[in-house]
Amino acid sequence: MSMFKGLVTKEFREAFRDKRALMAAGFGIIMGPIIVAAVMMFQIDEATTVKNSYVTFVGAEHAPQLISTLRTQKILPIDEVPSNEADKWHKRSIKITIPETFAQDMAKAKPVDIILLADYSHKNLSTVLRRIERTIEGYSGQVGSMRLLMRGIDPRIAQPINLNVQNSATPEAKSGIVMGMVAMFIMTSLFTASMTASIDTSAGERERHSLELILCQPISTVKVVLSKVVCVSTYGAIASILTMLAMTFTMAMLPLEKIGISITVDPLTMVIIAVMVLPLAYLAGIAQLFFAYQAKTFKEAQSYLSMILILPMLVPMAIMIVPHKPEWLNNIPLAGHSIIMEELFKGKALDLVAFAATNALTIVVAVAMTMLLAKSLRSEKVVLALS
Amino acid sequence: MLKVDNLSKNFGDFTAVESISFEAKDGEITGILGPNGAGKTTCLRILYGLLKSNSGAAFIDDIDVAQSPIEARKSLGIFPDQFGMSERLTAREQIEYFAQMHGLTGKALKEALDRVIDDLDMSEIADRKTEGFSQGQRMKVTLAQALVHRPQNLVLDEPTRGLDVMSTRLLREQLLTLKQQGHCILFSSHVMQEVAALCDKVIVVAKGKVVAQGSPQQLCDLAGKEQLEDAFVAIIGSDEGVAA
Repeated sequence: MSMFKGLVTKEFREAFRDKRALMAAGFGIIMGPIIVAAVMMFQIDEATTVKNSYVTFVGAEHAPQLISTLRTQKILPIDEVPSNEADKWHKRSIKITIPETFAQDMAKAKPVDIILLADYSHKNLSTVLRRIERTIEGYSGQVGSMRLLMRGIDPRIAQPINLNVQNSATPEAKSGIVMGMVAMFIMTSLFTASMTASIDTSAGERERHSLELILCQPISTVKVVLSKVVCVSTYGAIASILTMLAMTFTMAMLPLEKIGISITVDPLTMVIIAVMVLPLAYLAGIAQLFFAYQAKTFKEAQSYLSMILILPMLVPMAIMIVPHKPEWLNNIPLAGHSIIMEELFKGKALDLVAFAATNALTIVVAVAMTMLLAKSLRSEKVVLALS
Repeated sequence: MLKVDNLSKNFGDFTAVESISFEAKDGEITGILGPNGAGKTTCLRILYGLLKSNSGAAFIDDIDVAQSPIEARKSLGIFPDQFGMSERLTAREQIEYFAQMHGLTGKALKEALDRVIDDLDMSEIADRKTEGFSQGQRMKVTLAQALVHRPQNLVLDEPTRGLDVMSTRLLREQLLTLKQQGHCILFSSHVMQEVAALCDKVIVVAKGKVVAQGSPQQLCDLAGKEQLEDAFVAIIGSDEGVAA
């Protein structure tokens, strides 16, 4: 045991003196909260304030009343655009064409065609376009009602059904996408943080010509692998837990209630997530070591591991979109973690069965990889690839 | 004592080592001499227990390496051909790591570290990180990590490559001291002067086989030459790789 302690001490000394690895870990911790905060701020801003939009009107003079109605909804003629936004709105080129016969046809109660020309695939435009549509439809409905009233008819006769939509989602549940993002960042930071450290201690050690000498020492390869994975996983777990704390703090700071989202992260949730991060950190660490050991150089290992880096995003997403999946798929590492975290953040109670299954599966896979890696370090193929 | 007995090793169709037998006794310095690609490194790797031989066996103090590699390695110190070290560790930490792998802990560990640092006269560099160390300083650290657990047997793989005169002399003195203390020293080299000056016994390896063994003088007599280098060329039948 004391021998093992010595091995681990050496790994920790190396890993925590590695500025490059520390920087990578720090980057992972800081990046998540910043991105989430930025996205949320933008969304809150979009959802709570209506900004002026600028549209090219053709034939505005034919329908002054419609134009002023649009104006009340902050849809303004393009020649009023301030110079700093001019470029943007000219590029977006939304065009509303009002026919010459507008007033005439309106007077005769003939249907009028107003043309709204815009690029509907432009994702930043959807809210603006919806607002224009709604305003014009509203105006049209208003005129229609007036016509009916003037003929002595109750306008409600033209609206036999009034659909009343009631959203039963709680404010916590509405936060689904945000929470999925938080869960993803907690897992991603775990992988980014341990990546540099794991490459350095495996492929890096081989590149420095230290590996062969270590394999010649009177010590089992299981101990060598374990000492490395303990260190690398600690790196990942620390980064991941710090990310969680930073995320929680960021969430608490944001005025999320403005968009109807409520997030409650109580200390117990944090403890459960921290406990769950540990097996995941073990799995991430051993997976990274496993693949990095197959590489001869630091650079080669980096290209292998960058592929592993996308797993925390890919696996939960893949599981989410697979229809009619068997139940156990919800418990595979990463996907299970993501689902559990999301539920917890939504304020639901912990599903103990899912929690146990996910973590047990994670540990089983990690132990299997540990044994496999230890065995591969005893193989001649690895030794021959040393020089 | 180190012994290899009728060792053969193939990699596919290629025979790297063929029926090699030799013995390195305690209290002697034994040299393995051979051109590049003669099978020296393969032979040593079998002795370390990294590679499995196709036939024959290797022994460290009568323990079969293939049977119980970890037990056998306990009385072995290795000085590899490349001085790989972690640049973020100090020399002392680097040596400590190897001492711990040999099971040294607590007070014994500290004493072993102090002793080897003192023996190799490296107290000035002991607590510096090894980043930027010269070849000579790296040699000292490497030797210290091979000797810290006082192994009965020491294997050196081309130890003087890239060393200046002072470092080479220091290494030579260390080896002679160890020899006097009764340790078994095996070292591979292709530097003739060194082998001639140091070794009690020389094993000449070429194309995976032992082509001659004996004291440097015996080898010269055998080949009818005055210089070991000439004897070596005469014995292996070519001068390929000798000057490397």
